[in-house]
Amino acid sequence: MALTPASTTPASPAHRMAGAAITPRAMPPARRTGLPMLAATLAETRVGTAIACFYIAAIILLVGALAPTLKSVNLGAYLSSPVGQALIGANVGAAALRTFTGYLSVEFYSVWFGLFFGGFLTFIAGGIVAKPVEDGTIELALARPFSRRRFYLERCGALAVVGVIMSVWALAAVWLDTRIFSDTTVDWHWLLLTQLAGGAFLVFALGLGAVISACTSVARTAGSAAIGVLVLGYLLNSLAGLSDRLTWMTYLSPFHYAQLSAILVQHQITWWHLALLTGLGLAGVVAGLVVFERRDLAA
Amino acid sequence: MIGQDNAVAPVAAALPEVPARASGPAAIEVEGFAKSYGTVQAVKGISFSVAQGEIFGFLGPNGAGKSTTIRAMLDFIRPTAGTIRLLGLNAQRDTQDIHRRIGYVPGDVRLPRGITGRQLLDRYSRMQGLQPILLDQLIERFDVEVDRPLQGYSKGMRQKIALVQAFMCDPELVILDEPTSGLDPISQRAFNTFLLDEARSGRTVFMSSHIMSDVEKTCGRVGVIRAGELVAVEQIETLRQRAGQKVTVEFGATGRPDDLGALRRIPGVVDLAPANHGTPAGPGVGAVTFTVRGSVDPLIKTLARYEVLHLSAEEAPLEEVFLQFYETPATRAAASPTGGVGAGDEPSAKTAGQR
Repeated sequence: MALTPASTTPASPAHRMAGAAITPRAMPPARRTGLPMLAATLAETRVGTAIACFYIAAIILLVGALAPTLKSVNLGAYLSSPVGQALIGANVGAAALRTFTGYLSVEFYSVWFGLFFGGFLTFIAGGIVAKPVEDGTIELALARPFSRRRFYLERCGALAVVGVIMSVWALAAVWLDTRIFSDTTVDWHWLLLTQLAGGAFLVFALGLGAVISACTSVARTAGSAAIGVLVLGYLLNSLAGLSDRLTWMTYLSPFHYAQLSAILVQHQITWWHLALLTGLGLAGVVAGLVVFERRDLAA
Repeated sequence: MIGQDNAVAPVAAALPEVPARASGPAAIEVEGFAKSYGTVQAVKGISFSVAQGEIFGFLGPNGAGKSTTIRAMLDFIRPTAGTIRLLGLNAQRDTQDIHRRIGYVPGDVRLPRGITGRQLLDRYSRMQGLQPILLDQLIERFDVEVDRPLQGYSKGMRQKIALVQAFMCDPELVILDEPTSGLDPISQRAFNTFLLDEARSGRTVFMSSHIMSDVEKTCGRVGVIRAGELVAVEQIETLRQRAGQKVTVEFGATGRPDDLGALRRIPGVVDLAPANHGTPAGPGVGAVTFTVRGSVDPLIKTLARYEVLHLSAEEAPLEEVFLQFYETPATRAAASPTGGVGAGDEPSAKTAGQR
């Protein structure tokens, strides 16, 4: 016996001419779509996001716990090396680092932020297109009236939410430090600007992973390639300090445009750097969308 | 069965050409569809149509281009040439409008992890933008466990979930790639019955399958694609007539054919071979098996000259007919033994869709 839909009217007759559009028979009632792919992507990344937030909290709370003992630490030799300067910026002096804010800038708001947390975001962004293609789940999704554009933008949006979660979590952890530990004062205005600059770097990381993901069908390859770009950027930033003749290399590194330590400690912010990182990130997202909309989906 | 009064019908030649185009409004129209990957032509310009309310089987060996055609219908890949229209709309331009009215089961069902079947079906119905009005009936009919995490599902249960999600929003057209893959025989039978019921209610089904018995039971027409070319579009009933009947004859000691020659010359007899039927030893042919196509009158009249102890006949499986379309001259030469093949046994490689 055929299934009998409970709430539809009988089928209307189709046009008689072959080739003409067929009048649809009565459709089931409509249902609000919501943001199903955004929700699904957030659920998919919840474990990784939780781990990232754990380490964010652990690092920041540890910095807060150690803050009282920092006054006696001599970081001058550390800062004089090219690696040290590449990590935290050549403009940050040793004196500044004996404060909670300074130590926070070394241990969290330095290149480590971009490498670890930017790396995390760019790696999972490598799965925006490649992962559902690779695991085959994209077919049942796109067999619905759900455009590739919407599919892609909801998944990018979910990772943007992940970036926001990590950023807000970091600020919350700093706030907790200031409540729990002594000698942990911070200039919130400049901390928020620092986190904003960090957010611009995360947008860059997202766009980098997204465009690479759109070009491949293997998520791990896409994620690894995206992380490789960040690592290369770190190396360029590090090597540039070895010689005046290599200074030009730093301009090729995204880390040059996210001097988070300088913002937090020296209160120096270059707004067009943030704009550049954000613009490149958004350009990556758009480029990935263009590629994804045009490509064949591998079986 | 013996006694059919039909004209002789060699395997794939000299029959009236069955139109690749369906009669009535077309739910699917494929016109000159071709797909190339670099220098490799996966599909070489095929044309056919499927009428509304029809169950159409799309068959072919591995790598023939079945999935390529289906994926182009769903806009997963873009044609190199030609057009595909579903429900009168362009499959590449009007994708969202089409997908609102169709259901799809992929050949390899992959489901996300970390959620239950019910949660997945809910997600898909939200993405469809329609209430899943047939959900509860389908869950009951296919006996699906929807409240377990998907990663714990067997292949058969995943297939059932795929079938439920394809039909739950009451689509007009359903595209199925190997729909019974992984299902147990009872579930396969239930699905075939379900499909026939749904076709009677006006739903169009386009089905790719390797299970010939399912195709035989459910489809009205089949298209066969081989090496990217559409080699045949036939009514199932025509194929049944073409398949003929498998006959076994045992002769008595006093009235046997001297050799197979007289039997081989009977019109419509193919695949003639001696049979070891436990008949008494003696000169001449003791028992034979063969397939007879078309009218059996010449056969009866010839057998009447001999002493026939036993005669049995049964419908030949359509699988053999399908396989003849699958075979290329090279594979046929490699696979077939010498002898035992009657006249008119060469399959035709006509491209039914070309106009």
